[in-house]
Amino acid sequence: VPFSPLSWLVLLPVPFMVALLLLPRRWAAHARWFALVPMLLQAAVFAKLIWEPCCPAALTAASDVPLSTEMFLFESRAWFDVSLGEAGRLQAAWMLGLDGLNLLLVGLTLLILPIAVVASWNQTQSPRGYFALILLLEVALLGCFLSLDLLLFFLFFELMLVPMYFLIGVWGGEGRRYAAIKFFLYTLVGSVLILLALLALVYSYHDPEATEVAGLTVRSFSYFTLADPGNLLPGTLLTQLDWRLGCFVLLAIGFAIKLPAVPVHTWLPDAHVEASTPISVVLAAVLLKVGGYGLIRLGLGLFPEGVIAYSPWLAGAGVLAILYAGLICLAQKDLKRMIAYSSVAHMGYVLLGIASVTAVGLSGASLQLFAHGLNSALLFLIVGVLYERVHDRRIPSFQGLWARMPRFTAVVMVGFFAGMALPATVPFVAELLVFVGAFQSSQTLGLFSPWLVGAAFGGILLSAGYFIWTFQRMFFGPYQVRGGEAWDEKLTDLSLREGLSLGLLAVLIVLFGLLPQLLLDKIDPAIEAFAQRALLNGQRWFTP
Amino acid sequence: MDTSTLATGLDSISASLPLLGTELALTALLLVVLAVHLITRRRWPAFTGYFTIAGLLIVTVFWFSQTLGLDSYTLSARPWALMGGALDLDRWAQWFKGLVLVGTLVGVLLTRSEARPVAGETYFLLVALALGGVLMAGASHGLIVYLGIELASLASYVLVALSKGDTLSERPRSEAATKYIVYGAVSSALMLYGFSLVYGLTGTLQLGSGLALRLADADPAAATVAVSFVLIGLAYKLSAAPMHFWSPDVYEAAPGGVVAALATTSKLAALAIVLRLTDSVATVPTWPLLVAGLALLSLTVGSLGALAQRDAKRLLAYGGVAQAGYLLMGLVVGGEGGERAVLVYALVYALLTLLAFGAGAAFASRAEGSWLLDRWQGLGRRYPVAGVAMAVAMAGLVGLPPTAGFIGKLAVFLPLAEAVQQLGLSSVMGVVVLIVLGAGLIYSVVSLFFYLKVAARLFLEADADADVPTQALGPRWNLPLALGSALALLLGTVGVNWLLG
Repeated sequence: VPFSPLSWLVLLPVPFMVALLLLPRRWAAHARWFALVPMLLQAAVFAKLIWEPCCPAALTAASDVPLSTEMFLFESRAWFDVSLGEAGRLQAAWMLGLDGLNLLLVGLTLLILPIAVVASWNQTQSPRGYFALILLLEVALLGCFLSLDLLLFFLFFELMLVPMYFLIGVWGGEGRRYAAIKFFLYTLVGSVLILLALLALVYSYHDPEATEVAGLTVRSFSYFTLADPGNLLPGTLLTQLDWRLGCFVLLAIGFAIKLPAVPVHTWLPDAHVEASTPISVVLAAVLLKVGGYGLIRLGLGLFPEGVIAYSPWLAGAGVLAILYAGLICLAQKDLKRMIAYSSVAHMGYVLLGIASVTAVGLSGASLQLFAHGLNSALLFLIVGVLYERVHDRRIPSFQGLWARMPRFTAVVMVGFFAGMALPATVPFVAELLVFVGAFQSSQTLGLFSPWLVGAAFGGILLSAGYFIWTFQRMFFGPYQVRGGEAWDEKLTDLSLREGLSLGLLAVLIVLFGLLPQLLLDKIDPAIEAFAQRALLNGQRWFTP
Repeated sequence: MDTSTLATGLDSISASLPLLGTELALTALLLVVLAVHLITRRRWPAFTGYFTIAGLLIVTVFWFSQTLGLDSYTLSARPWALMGGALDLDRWAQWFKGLVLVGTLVGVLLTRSEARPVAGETYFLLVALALGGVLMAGASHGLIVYLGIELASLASYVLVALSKGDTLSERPRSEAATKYIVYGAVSSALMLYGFSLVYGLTGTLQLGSGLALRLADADPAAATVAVSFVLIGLAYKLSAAPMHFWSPDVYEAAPGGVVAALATTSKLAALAIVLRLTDSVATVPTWPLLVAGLALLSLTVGSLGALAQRDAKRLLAYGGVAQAGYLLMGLVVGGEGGERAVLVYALVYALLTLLAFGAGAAFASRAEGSWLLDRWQGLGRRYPVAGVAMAVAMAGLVGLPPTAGFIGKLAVFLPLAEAVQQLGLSSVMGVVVLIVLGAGLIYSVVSLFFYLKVAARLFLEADADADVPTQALGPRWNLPLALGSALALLLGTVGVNWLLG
C-alpha cells in the first residue's frame, strides 16, 4: 500500500535529519537549508491537501472506519499485534487522521517551524545538531497531532521531550540546565499519568469486529475503539463511573501540565526565559498546543463524563489562570517573562472553552489554540528582535522606540493588540466564541455559574492593562535607552529577513481576524459532531 | 542405589550429551583459553583476547544450532529435561543463554580495549562466568542452581580482585572484592539453607510441577521461610535490594568490560532461575508478595541511591538495582503475560546496559580511564557517535520512546494493569499489584533524574579538559556503538512486533 500524504507529511524530515547527522563539518554552515527545504516541501504537501476539495467520499481509505465522515484524510496500517496470553491479543497501528480537530494545529506547526528555522538562520553553535533536533521536534509534533492510535500518540508525545530538552539545555541561556531538567521532569510526570490512564483504557475496551474474527478478546490502542462506549468489556474497571472519573483526572493533569494550567505552570516561564528566541517560539506557539489538543481529543473524546463532572473545576482553573497570570504580567520587568505569563493566561480560555462542552465553546478553544500560536510566535520574535540587538529585554531599558524603529513598532502594535484580543485580530474571534460557548453552557447545561464566566472578563481588562502599559513605556515618549549611545547604532529597524517572518504572522493575524470563516468553515462541522457525541456519551453516565 | 535407576541415569546422560552443545563447547573453550594464555602470554599477549572472541563466536554457533533443533527433541515424555532432569532445554533457557553469551562477548571486546592492559587470566575467568551463567539459565534442579551460581560467583570474585592497578578508582579493588566475597558467602549460605528446608519439606530439589504439588501440602509458614531464603540468595546475584550492597563498589572498582559482563550475565542468569522457580513454588501463597517486596525495595533503594552518584559506574550500579526491580515486576503477576514481560525486559535491559557500558568505555578511554562524570563533561560533543549511543542507552533505561526501553517497560506494565483489572481492589493481591505498578511508573520519573544527568554532562556542559586534544574514536568504537544505538531504536519502533511476539 502506498503511503498517504499524511505519512509523507510526518516522515519527510527524517531523511534530511539523517543527512544532517552525516554532513561533513566543512558544510556545517549549510545545515540550515537541510531544515528549511523539507519544511517547505511539507508546507507544499499540506497546501495541496487543503486546496483540494476535502470531501470524505473522495478519500477511499477512510470509508471503512467509524466516525470517518468527519475525517479529511485517514491512513492506517498494522504496527504490531501481539498475544497477551489469557488476556487475548493487543493491537497497535500506524494510524494517522486529519480532521477538524487537528487541521489548524497541523497547519500551525507547518507554519511556525520554518519561521523558527529562519529565526535561527545565523545559528553558529553546532548548527548540524541544532537543525537535526528541530526536524526531530517537527516529526514528533506532527506525529502527535495526527496520531489516532493512542500508543503512537504517546510515543510522539514523549519523543517531543528529547529534542526540546537538548534545544533548551544546549543552546539556551545562563540557567539552561535547570530550566531544561524542570521542563523535562514536569512533562514526564504528566506523561506517566497519561500512560496510566491509557493502560486502564486498553484493558477495559475491545474491538468487537476483530474479536469476532479472531475468536478471542482483541484489545486495541485505536482511538475509534476506545472512544465508543459500546466497546466496553463488561465487568472491567472503566464500567464504573468512579474509575472513569479517576482516569479522566489523570489525563487532565497530564495535559494540564503541558498546557500549562495554574498551578502546574511554573516550568513555563523558566523554560522560556532560558530558551533562545526560535525555541521559545516553537515552545509557545506549537508545543503548548499539544496540551490543549490532548484535553479535547483524549480528555473530552474518551471521558466526556469526566469533563461534565469536573466542568466547574476546569472552568475555574481556566479563569484562575486568566486572572492570576494576568496579575503576574502586570508586575513583570522582563518582557519575555511577561509574554510567557500572558501565554498561561491565554491558555486559560482554552480550558474555559473545553469546560463548556458546547460546539461553540470547543471551536473557540480550537481557534484560540491556533490564534495563540500565531500571536505568541509573533510576540516572542518581537522580544528576539530587541534581544538580538542589545542583549537586553527589560522593559525599563527602553523608551520611545517608535521614533527609531517605526516598522518594528507597527508589528509590535499588531502583536500587542492581538494579545489583548482587540477586534480584527484572531484572538478576538476565538475568545468571543469561548465566552459565547461558556455563557451558553452555563444557561442550557448549567455546568457552572455565569458569574464564573463574568469573572473571566476581568482578564481582558488585565491584558489590556499590561500590554498597553508596556507599549506606552517602551515605545512612547522621548527616545531613551539604558545603553546610551552605544545602543544607538545597534537599534536598527527590522531587516528583510525579520520583516518577512514578523510581517507574515502579523498579516495572518489580521486576515484571519477579519475573515475567521476561512478557518471555521473547515473545522466547524467536525467539531459540532464531536461536541454532540461527547455530550451524548457523557450524559449517559448520569442518567439512571 | 539400585542398578536399574543407575542404568536409566546413565542412559539419560549419554542421550543428553549430544544436546548439550553450548555447555560442552563452552567448557572446552574454558580449558583451551587457559592453555593458550599460558603458551602465548610472553610472545603475543594480545592473542588470548582474539582467541576468546573467536571461541565465543563458535560457541554462539553451537547455541544457534541447539536453539534451531529445539522442536525436534524426543528424549522422553518430558523432552526438554536433560541429564535426568538436572538441566532444562527449552526456549527460556535458550533465550537467557543467548543473552549470557552476548553479554560475555561484549565484556571480552571491551576488556580488550581497556586503556591499560588487563591480566590475560581475565579472559579465562570471563568464559568461566559465561559457563556458570549458561548452567544457571538451564538449571532445573536445586543442586545445579547452586553449582551454576557458585561457578559464576567464584569467577566473578577473582575477576574483581584480579588487580593490576588498571583502573582509576578512589576505592581499592581489594575492598570491593572483599565485600563481594563476604556478601556472596552469606547469600550462598542462606540459599543453601533455604534449599535444605525445601528438601526437608518436600523430599526433592527437582524444580517443576512435582515440587509445586508437594509444597502445596507443606505448612505455608515453613514453605514461606524456605523460599524466602532461596530468594534472598538469588537476590544477591540479581543485585536486588537488600542484597545489593556489593554492587556499587564492585562496579566502581572493576574494569568496564568486566562490569558489563557481570551486569548482564550474572543478573540475567539469576533472573532465569527466579523465573523457573516461580512455576515450582507457585503454590506457596506468599511467593508473589515476596517477589513484590523485593521488586519494590529494589526500585526504591536503586532509584534513590543513584541520585547522588558522581561516578558513571556507581550510577549504573544503583540503576541496575532499580532495573532488577523492573525485571522482577513481571513475576509478581506470573502467568504467560508476566513471563513474556520478563523475557522481553531481560533482552531490552541487556541491550541497553551493554550499549551504556560500551559508550562509557569509549569515554573512559578518552578520559584517562576515568568514569567520573566530572571528567566526561562536554565529551559527548567531541565524540558525537558515542554521545548519541550513551543518550539512547540512558533514554532507553528511563523507558522513553522511541527506544526499545519504552516497549520493555510497556511489556512489564501491561500484565500488571491487566492483573489489577482482574483482581480488583478488594483483594490484597490487587492492591499490591497496583502499588507495584504505581511504584514502577513513579520511579521511572525518578530514574530520569540520574540517567539524564549522564547525557546532560556529556552534552550540556563545557569541556572539562578543553586543552586535551580530541582523539577521534575511529570505526573500531563508532561502528558497534552506532549499530547498538540503531538496534535500540529499531526495536522500539518497527521491531516491536518481533520483540513482543
